[in-house]
Amino acid sequence: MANVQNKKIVVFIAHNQAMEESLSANALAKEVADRGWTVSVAAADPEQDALEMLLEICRKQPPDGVVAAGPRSFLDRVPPVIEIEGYGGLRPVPVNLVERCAFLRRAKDDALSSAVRQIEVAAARCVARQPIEMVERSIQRVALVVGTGNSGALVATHLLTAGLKVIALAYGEQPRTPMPEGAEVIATARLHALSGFPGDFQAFITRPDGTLVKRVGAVVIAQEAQRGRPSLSDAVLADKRVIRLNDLSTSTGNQGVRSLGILLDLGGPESRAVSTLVQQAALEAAADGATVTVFYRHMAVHGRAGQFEYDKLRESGVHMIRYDRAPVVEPQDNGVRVSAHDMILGEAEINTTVERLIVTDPVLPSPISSELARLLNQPVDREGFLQPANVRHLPVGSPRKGVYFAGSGHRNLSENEAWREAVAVAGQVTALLSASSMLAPKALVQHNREVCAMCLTCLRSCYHGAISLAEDGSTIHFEPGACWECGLCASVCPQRAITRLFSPEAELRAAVRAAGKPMNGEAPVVAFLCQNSPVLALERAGRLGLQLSPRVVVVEVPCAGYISQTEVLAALNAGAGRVVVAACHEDNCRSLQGSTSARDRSGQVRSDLKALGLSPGRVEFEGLAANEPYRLIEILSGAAAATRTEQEVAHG
Amino acid sequence: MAAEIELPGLTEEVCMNGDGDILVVGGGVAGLTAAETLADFGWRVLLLEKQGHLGGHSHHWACMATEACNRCSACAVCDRLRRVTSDARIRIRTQARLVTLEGSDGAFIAGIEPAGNSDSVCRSHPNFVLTAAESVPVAKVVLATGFTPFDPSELPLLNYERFGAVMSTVDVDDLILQNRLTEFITQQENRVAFIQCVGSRDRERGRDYCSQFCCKTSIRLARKLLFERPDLQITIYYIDLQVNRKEFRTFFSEMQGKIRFVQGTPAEILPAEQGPGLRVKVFNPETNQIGYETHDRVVLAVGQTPNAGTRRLAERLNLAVGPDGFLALAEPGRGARSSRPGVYLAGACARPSDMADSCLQAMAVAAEIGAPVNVTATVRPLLAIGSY
Ligand SMILES: Cc1cc2nc3c(=O)[nH]c(=O)nc-3n(C[C@H](O)[C@H](O)[C@H](O)COP(=O)(O)OP(=O)(O)OC[C@H]3O[C@@H](n4cnc5c(N)ncnc54)[C@H](O)[C@@H]3O)c2cc1C
Ligand code: SF4
Ligand code: SF4
Ligand code: SF4
Ligand code: SF4
Repeated sequence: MANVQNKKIVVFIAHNQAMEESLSANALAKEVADRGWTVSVAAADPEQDALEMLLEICRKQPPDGVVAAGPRSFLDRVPPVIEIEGYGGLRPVPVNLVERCAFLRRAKDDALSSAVRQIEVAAARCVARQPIEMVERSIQRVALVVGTGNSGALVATHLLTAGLKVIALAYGEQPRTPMPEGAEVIATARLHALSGFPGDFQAFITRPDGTLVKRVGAVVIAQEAQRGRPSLSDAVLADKRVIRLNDLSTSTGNQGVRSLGILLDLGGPESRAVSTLVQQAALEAAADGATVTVFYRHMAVHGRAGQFEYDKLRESGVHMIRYDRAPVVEPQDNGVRVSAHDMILGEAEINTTVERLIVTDPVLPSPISSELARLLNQPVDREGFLQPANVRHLPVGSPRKGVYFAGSGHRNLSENEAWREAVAVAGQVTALLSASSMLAPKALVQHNREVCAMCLTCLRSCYHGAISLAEDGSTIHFEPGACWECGLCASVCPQRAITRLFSPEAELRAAVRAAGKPMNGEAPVVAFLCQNSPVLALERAGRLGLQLSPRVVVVEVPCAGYISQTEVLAALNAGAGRVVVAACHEDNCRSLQGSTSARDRSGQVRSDLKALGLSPGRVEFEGLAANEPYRLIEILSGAAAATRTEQEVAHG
Repeated sequence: MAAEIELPGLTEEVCMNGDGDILVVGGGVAGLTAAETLADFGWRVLLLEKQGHLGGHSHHWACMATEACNRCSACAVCDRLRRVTSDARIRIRTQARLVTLEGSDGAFIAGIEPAGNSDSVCRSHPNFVLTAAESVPVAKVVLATGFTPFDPSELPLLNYERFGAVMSTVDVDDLILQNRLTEFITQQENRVAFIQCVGSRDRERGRDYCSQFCCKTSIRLARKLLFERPDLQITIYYIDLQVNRKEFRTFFSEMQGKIRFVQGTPAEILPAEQGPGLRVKVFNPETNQIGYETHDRVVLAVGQTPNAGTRRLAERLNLAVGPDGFLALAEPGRGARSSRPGVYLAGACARPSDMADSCLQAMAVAAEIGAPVNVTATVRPLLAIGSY
């Protein structure tokens, strides 16, 4: 291996009893030492001693790189950056020997050869890895709440209780609901840009008299949904006896009404808040002696009391008519007539004439949700509500750490849920800001302003909000405190103006070369696995003891967004029989676009291979979740078997 | 007082800050979320799990992705697990149970014991297993002991035990997790039915609540099945469809033409009179009569029931239990406090909830407890830097 001679690489092997059953640390150490690296072996039961030993080795005589190999329980304790005085931060390259080597394979020889191979890949990484400089940065114990509706006020209250300062932005001249005492309210204000990092953002706020910049630690987008227009004709809605639920300030507004109709679900299943309100209104009117008929399609029952309320409704003599097709509403002289088909009672049409009919307004996203989404670079969900529906960040977070969502403008909530959510959001903010400072890398990417064309492709693809436009628009800034190391910006830049410092191209290339090298004449399968899903699945497969061919060599990446044609082709060039790129399922990517971009690029390589007369099947892309260990093994084993067959055919 | 008790080996572990530690009982998605958030506040956390591995029920649910992720949340627990096991502020003990809780808010003494079950231990973390009984001083206790899926054999008319072709959603999830979906149904068969609310919304059996997650689970499962076998004819028998969650209304409307939704849940499953298949007894509104429909597989959407150990736990810890058997909240619907001051409830142990709700409740519990008063200056752990 090139370069290794003049670099000092330490391979630290921690082991425990479980590992020794199928992989001997001493045998491994011998193999590794034969390759010219310094090796240390330590027992990882208890892990603490092993970790101390590793830290001591690093501090005594800082090596150029360190491979930390061992069981997951040991790796969990290894800090991602080991600070060494006068040297900088050393980033150890971990190798999970147990879940990914020992447990996965039953034959001892296979486990050993696979472990050696993974250590080779890690050592190759070390050679090209640079120390990383860390800086301490301050944290602002101030939260910005955007929106002064019900949830905004609740969140502000809980934040103040937790001892944080609160700035609340009201869109209009007055807050929509009274804000708690102690909150600084800025009226006729809108958020216009947000830069900085979680813990210390700069919020640019526009007001009629100019722009204001506030330093805040976290941002809560607390928007309420708005109400649309029911899908009924103008004539019906103009009738005074047809009341929109929103106009009914209190449910007691139905006093004296002898027959009341309530029409639900016209615009799809009703929100939880509405169904609770309607159930109360119906019960009160019934108790008042009115004849009440509820026309509905699905009744939202929720919370512990939901079913109880629903049962009470039916027992209180309220007529419940479950329709299949939307009922016809016609104002008549003697009342409003509703004609519906009851699903249970069948074809016969039921005509009910009521003195008053309550209709509900459909719930729509807040009018400023697209504006907010754009400035935060956070896509709205498929229904236009705020906050992308990505389970990695739900229920209240976002890819932009430090930016949280609350209120009916991001999801459907009952009153109690809104309350709980506000407490939870306040808790997340407090937890984020409870530290007094943050240790962040000084820089994670390098931006070459000479070649940058200011096309802003990188800025748009960074959903973590780590890239911002300078105020005068002349250049872009990268904020290492907000960066998640997804690598997307570097892969999408058409000018190649961005260089990753956290895992430079040279590092990945070296790893790929080591991984693709044939072993004992056998072409390997190089598996690029993203650490957020497939790597977790692989470790779970290890715990389950599933079997995997030692032909498969793993190259772990922080996000699939990292993988470009170069890496895939480099693996094939090095001698790999096949390349598998496994990433999170679409819409499950922590960085939102990383996995789709990897999928598109793998597709590109496939067409390139075809154009060269090679089999496109040699490159495979798979979307995969952390809870699909069996599927992952099937995919990898399939690739290994296919490679073996091809090699056998080629060799006659 | 906590400080007066001599605890060999534990002295430096506890009371790192002047406020003491927090005990979280249950390592499901709720317990993991609570532990993580509390650790972020600056608390030291002791996380107890009865089983040999963490993750709770969600860890057994399969991925429902088709062309793209369908947002079932199941994989989110794997993410959380990784974070919790690598957080030095959280001490984890598996195969451990809480047996006594003396003292009061701010100064509890928790008696913990090995649970002594034969459940398999996580191979990655055998060192988490509790081997000897301990008494631990803690300031607050969070219970996140979760639920037990309803056992459909309690409803004999559904013949769950008698027919292999009657399965529960738990069984189908397991098949998918193991990548054995092809075994769910043969190539010759294609009629699949889901029956909703099995074990939920059933007042006669004291289950007068909606389990919240099962409508969404069935619709996602149906979509997954259709993705693998586009020729399947799927019927979902329901009472009300609870589909008003983030993006789920859209998801539901996309499925409306592809799945047959029939109102009314059959109460009985019988063998087909002739040939293969099962007959389910349904009410036919068109003929106004009870009729039968034939399906090859019937999937029972089982709900949540209170964790089997709830009553015993409540007795031991002197906690109130609600009329439906879940642990009682001091302020139903709102806060997270149990009937005993200093003891909080998170997740499905207090009310039927899906995973997102369980997480939210756990975050709310942490927020209610708040940050320790005497916490010293801390440096926030790195956000970005992963290990690869
Ligand atoms: C078939 C099925 C499918 C589902 N699918 C979905 C889905 O797709 N999406 C979704 O959002 N939700 C789904 N759910 C619901 C989901 O499983 C629950 O919302 C979630 O698991 C609740 O988490 P929890 O942490 O509160 O409880 P649990 O997951 O039950 O975890 C509780 C933990 O506490 C431990 N424990 C219990 N008692 C003690 C004790 N005394 N001492 C120590 N430890 C103890 C248990 O061993 C367990 O590990 C599904 C449920 C079922 C039944
Ligand atoms: S690596 Fe990812 S998170 Fe970091 S700046 Fe680039 S796109 Fe943003
Ligand atoms: S994508 Fe590249 S060229 Fe475009 S703005 Fe970003 S760095 Fe400049
Ligand atoms: S479908 Fe569920 S398990 Fe699969 S990726 Fe999406 S959230 Fe994760
Ligand atoms: S979520 Fe659906 S299936 Fe589950 S109990 Fe509620 S109504 Fe029934």
